[in-house]
Amino acid sequence: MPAAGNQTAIFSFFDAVLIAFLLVLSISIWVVNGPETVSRDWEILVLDHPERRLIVQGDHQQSIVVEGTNGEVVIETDGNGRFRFLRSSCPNQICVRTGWLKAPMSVPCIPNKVMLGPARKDPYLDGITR
Amino acid sequence: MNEFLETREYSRYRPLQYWTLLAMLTAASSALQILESPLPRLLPWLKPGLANSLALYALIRLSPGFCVGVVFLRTILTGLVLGGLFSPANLLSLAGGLAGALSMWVGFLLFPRRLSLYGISVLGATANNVAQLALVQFLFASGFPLWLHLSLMIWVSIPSGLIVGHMTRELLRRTA
Repeated sequence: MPAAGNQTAIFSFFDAVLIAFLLVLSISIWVVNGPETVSRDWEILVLDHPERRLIVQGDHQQSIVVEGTNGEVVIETDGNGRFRFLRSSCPNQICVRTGWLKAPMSVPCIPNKVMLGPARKDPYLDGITR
Repeated sequence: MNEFLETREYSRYRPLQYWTLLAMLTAASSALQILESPLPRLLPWLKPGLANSLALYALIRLSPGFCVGVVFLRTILTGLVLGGLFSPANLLSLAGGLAGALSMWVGFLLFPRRLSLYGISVLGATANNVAQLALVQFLFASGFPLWLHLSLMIWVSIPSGLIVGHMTRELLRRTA
């Protein structure tokens, strides 16, 4: 068994290649998917009830109350195209602590099964409710 | 990592020692995960994943089975302590942990003399995030473009993987 402290290369060339690959992948994902979403409208979807789909205009300041799986979720828009989970009945409050979101980002509240994201162009969408 | 490959102790232990070691590693790993849970984060759904250093330690020093065992038991234990056992968040943590363990094992098998502990750890951290995001995308996102999060997650996976790799390296060095 080699003695402790005789380590040679601590960071290999292949580590650098792996990290470079991941960085290129990251930038590619953003470039391919990011800028296309320019919608100022947002979509709220309760996953247990797909018919509960709301399209909300991003240029009005308002609060929207949604009934999720575990309780009430309040979503707020600031009128400048930004949205956030203001309150949620979920235990960890990860969705609330995520803060303000702007397109193209989307975020779920997993315990409540509520999804918030930029409005999608959906040709089959025929059940918009407010 | 070459120097660590020769220090595998798997065959050295008797069955009772395996279980004791598994319990100790699981306890230490769970403690790390519980301790880091209230720490402030760059993004609320991103954790440094320091507990993975014990899983990586188990993989290098002991065996892949130990690594999976540590990840599985750690997730159950932290779910019990923090609440929400078998909740969606707990299951996501389990899926991410197992994917991380699996990818580190694959990296370890395929490139043992090429990737260092740092590379293996970065691989595990990235796989952890990819698995969690894939599960959220598949189960919850319902067509929303969550993959954009991956581009942010990768930028966090790299430093956290390097930190975990360094912790594991120190653990291995000090317990050689």
